[in-house]
Amino acid sequence: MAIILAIETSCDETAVAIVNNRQVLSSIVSSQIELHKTYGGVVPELASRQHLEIINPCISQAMEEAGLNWQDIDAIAATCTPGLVGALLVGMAAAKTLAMIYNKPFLGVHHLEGHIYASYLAQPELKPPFLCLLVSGGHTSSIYVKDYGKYELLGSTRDDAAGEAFDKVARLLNLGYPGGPIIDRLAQSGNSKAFPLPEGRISLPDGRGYHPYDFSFSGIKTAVLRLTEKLEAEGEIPVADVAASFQHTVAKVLAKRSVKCALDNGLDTITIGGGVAANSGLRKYLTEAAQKHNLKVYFPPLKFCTDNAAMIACAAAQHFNLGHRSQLDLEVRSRMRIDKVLELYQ
Amino acid sequence: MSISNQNKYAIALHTSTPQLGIAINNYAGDRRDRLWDLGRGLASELHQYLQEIIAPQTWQDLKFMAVAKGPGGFTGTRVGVVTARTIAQQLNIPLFGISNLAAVAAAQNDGSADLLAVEMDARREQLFVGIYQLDSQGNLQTYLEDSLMTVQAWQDTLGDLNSSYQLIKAEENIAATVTNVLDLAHVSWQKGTVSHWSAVVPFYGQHPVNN
Repeated sequence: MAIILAIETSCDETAVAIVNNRQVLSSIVSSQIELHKTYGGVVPELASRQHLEIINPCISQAMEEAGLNWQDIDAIAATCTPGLVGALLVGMAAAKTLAMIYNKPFLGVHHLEGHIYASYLAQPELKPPFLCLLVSGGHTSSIYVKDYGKYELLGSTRDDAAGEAFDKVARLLNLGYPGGPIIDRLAQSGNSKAFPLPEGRISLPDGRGYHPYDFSFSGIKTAVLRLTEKLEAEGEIPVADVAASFQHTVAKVLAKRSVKCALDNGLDTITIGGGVAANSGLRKYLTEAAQKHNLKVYFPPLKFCTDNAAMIACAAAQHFNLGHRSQLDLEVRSRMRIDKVLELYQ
Repeated sequence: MSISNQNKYAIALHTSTPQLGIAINNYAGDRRDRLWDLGRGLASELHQYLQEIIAPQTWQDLKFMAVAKGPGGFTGTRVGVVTARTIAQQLNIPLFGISNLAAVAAAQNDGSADLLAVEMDARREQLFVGIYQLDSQGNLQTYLEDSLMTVQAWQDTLGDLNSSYQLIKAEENIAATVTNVLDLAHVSWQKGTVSHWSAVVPFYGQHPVNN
């Protein structure tokens, strides 16, 4: 049993949560979407400034909603990597300060490991091994969860993250930000087979074919750009059809390669993390593809798919129970491989 | 958490440059201050130095806190301010955000002029500037709020002053003014000024996009 207060500020959500192992006692998320909407994407310096103003009220609210006092908290945790350095520093400074004042153990947590632990929050009985597909605005990765804290990255995007591609295509179509929910909504009324688009395959050296699990979304984004320029020259752009075709292609390639990845590695379960997990196309194609091969698929509730601190606290609780502790001088890092997470602890 | 009356120390942080400055004082003869050249390590090492300097006092011994709020490096200043806000929030003590320019003015005042005009390089031919004056009790008062100006606008501003002024250039190593940050906060605290942590944010002087 471990009660953990965790802070997540790696991008544009300011979040504080308290969990008791895999049970969420409180989870506060303050989104900055409105702040960044004007700029069509996250402005790192603005994100950091907003985190600073919001983080302390979020801490109070999380404590109040959990109905706990500081003696009840076993440890303090914060996302330390990967993410926007300036944004990470705000959450880390606040978390270290709490650990320092209340003399509590401190744990830095890898953001992607947090997304993996979102599945444990939704399915407390879930146990490794399984495959986790992380798809968000910043990440697209297929991670083999071998054991607690032991991971192998089997596939990832070579360029844009899937969510980033949704944002960029939405911008091309003048749909606004964030692009994922808008494209998903429009795709419902469009013809997904109207425009064939490239799946984005990664060539292996020496003509050895294609990487089986890696992704590339820059090609499809360029293809949509050329398509919209052509359609615009011809007259009106059928926006719903373009959105549906784009979503269909991205969702299908994510589903196809994830299922292949699970099967090739003898895994019978796929979990999904990240904001793109909310996409109806991905849910449909991945569920259908998994069923064909008797694979189990877990989509956590949306509140745990998008960035939140409950998933960070859940990951920290597991590490705490394993005796892991971070030093108070732990640095933030913009990048860190998921298979190196144990380097964060003594 | 409430702080009882016998707690009697105050602490100040200066994190706006690669140098970390921390000062602690009970204004009854017990004071200490330290500077560390930490470079990029300031954000990660701040808390261990805080733990080091607070001893033998404890966090519960603090009656108020001060932090250098800028202008200066955005990231470093923000780390100091969020740390100070969190300490003040959790200990339920006042937090004073003190202008870096005001602290430099207090540190370098030579008593030769009516006004203290402080400038700090803000790059791109711009300056962070502020003008201060001493009141009849010798306390620093703001004459011109801290702001960002072109070099030309600053020269025009100085030219329009009707009083004598001492021009002070805030250099890079201003962390040593952490003792002035604490002293300026102490003056406000003695006057009974209410300064809640939630009102203390960094002074950036410019918007990251809409310049």
